[in-house]
This record gives sequence, C-alpha cells and structure tokens, in this order.
Amino acid sequence: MKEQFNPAQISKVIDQALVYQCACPAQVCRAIFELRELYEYQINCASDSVNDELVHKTIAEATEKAHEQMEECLKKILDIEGWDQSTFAMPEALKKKPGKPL
Amino acid sequence: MKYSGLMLIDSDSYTSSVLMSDLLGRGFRDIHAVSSTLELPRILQTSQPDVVVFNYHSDQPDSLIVCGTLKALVPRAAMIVIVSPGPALKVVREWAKQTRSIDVVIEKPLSDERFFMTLEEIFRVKVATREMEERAERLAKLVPEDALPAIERGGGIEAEMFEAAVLFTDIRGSSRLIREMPPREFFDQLNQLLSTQARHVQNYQGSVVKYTGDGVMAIFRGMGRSYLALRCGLELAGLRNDTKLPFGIGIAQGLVLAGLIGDSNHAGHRSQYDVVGATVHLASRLCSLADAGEVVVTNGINMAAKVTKPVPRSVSGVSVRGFDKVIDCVVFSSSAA
Repeated sequence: MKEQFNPAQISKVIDQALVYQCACPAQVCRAIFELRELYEYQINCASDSVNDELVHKTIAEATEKAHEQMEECLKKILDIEGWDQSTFAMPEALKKKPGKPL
Repeated sequence: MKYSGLMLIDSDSYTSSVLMSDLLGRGFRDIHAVSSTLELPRILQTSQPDVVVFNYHSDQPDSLIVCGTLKALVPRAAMIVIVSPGPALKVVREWAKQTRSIDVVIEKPLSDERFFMTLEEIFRVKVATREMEERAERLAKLVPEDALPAIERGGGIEAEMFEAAVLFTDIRGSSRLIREMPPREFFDQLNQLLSTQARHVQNYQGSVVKYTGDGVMAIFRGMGRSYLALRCGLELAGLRNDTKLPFGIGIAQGLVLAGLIGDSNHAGHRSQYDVVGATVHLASRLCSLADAGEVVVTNGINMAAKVTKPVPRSVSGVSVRGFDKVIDCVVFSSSAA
C-alpha cells in the first residue's frame, strides 16, 4: 500500500491535535492508521480457498482506495488549515482558537 | 465532586496548558503540571499523586521511562497514558505489558467523554480505597496487634501455643477511687494511665492483649522476654508518682495459648482475641498480691531476667489461689529503687 505520510508524521499531527479545539484532522489520521492495520491484518490472513482469496483481494482493494482517499483528505485539510508539511507543526493560528471542552 | 491529587506530565507546553484548563473545568483541583521529569523528585517530596496522566508524544519514545520511575516511587498512583493510535500505541502497549507500570491507556484524540469518565472512575475508586484503608486502620487499633495474624489466618480455630512472659497491672482500691472521684475525672485519669502503660509495653517489645478495666494484660515473646517484661514492669512501677491511681504489677512466665475465642460465623456474634493458660492466671494472681508501686514476679522470671537493680525482696512459699503448689516469688518495690 502506497503511503503519502509516514507513521511519525501522522502521530505528530494527532499528538498536537489532541487538545486542538477541532480534532477532526486527528480523527482522519486515526482512520488512516486503522485502514493500514486492516490492510496488514488481511495480508496475514490465510487464504485456503478461492473464496478466501477473493474476500481478501476485495478488502485489500477497498482499503487501498479508502486509504488513498483519506491521505488525500488529510493533505487537503493540512493545506486548508496551514500546517507546515515539512515539520508537521500545528499552526499558531489554530492554537489561538477559542477553547471548547474536550 | 472535586478531585485532587492529580499529576499531569506533558513535555509540550501548549497541550499541557489546554489539558490543564479542561481538567480544572471538570472540577479537578491542585493539579501538579510537570513538563520535565527532572522536576519530579522536588514535586514528590511535597506531595504524592493518586493519579498520573502522562501525555505521550510519539517523537519522544524514551519518555516512557517516567512511567516505570513513578510506579517505583509512588506505587499507589494510577498511571494513565494518552497516546496516538498506530505505531505509538503499539509501543506503549508493549511497554505496559513488559513493565506493568501503566494502568490505563487512552487513545488520542480525546474527542469524547471517555478520558474524563475514566479519570473520574479511577478517582472514585481511589477515594473509596483510601476510606476503606483509613477505616481498617481505625479498626486495627481496636484489636490487639497479635490478633491480626489470627484473624488473617481465617476463623482462628487453631490456637497458637507459645512461651511468653505475661504482665498484669491493676489499680489498687479502684472501687473506693471511683466513688471518691468525679466519674469523668476517673475516666480521664484511667485512660491516661492505661495509655501510658501500653506505650511502655510497646517500648519493651511487648503487646497489650487487652485492657482489663482497671489495668492492662500484656505479653512478651521471644528471646529476652523475661528481662523485657521485668524491665517494663519496673519502669511502670516508677510511674506511681505521676498518677492519682496507684497500681500493682504481676509477671509470670510459661506456656500460653492464644487465639480467637467465640463464634463470629453467626449474625450478631463476635470473636475476641485472647491469651489463656495457667501462666496468665498466675500473673493475674501475682498482680493482685502486689501493693501499689510493687512488681511481684516468680522466682523463675527474676532468675532469667538477671536484673541487678533494684534488689528485690524474696517471698518464699506464696500460696496462690487455684495453684496446688506454693510459688516462690520476689517483690520489687518502686520506693526501694
């Protein structure tokens, strides 16, 4: 599966967005991790029958597609919010947003 | 409900400040915010947390060591680690499994109520546990210290037999004193005297089995029990000038049986720890022979203790109620000390 963002970059976004008033970017990151885990999981599954192979192929294709879309989504979100995509540091402007309880 | 005793460890000042603000908004008080583990020794000197929240940043994997350090320094504290999903979560889970230093792992982002619900639940458990411990501590003070192992053994059907020196104290003329003194004053004097006696018993490695109303019954076990019991008795006798309640002391040594007496398996019934045996009776009888400020002990105790001062007076062939043979005793008098 192609990866546009490495785990450290995604984790960094989540770490900073932990208490960011809108945690949506972090939720997208979380979805990306979950898709990667699902992809890994199905790779390690036994395929003892033609049906098994078909099941796993279907999951792999859907996961790759969803993963690509979610990564693209994350990239757009980070662009819109002005994240520095070389350091993945949260923009100061976001930090100044009025607080909302977790 | 207000919760206090929370430590927040977060190396990022921004996330720390926002977490702190939310925690305060939820009623958490007296939060110790720690940004560097170097601050921990100083903070732990003044207060120890009930709960630690550690915000793990995936770019600082070494920072997990703090969980182990804290668990070693404050084992009672619950350790909550908040961590991003993915590889960081795997690292933290593996660390938790290997070191057992993490109690709860919560995934980021903290966008739902789970974090606070977990935190509040842990605090509720901590408060309940502390109340139970305080209650147990108060109750433990009401039973003799030797009774606790018997209770923990469960049931106490098996009595324990051992060699002990048994010491009794008893107020002389207490019936007259209680008539002559205002009841409240008598109670206060009695309470003060028995507490002092118990303290001296403890100082000499003895343990008070019970308060007998006008005195104490204590036992001394192990090597040197005769010496310790006699030294304790002599020191107690020396207290005669400090109290309005004169008392005598008796000490005997021999086999005793200790255990729980009574059946607490039925509703409304209860057991009581006690030490019984001929030695106990003898010590009690010797005590009743002692005048105020006197310590009456068996010759055997005196020989074993080898106390050279004060010099006792021998009283041979004492007839003691309930004992067929006469007993050879010695009497130490505090006035002769």
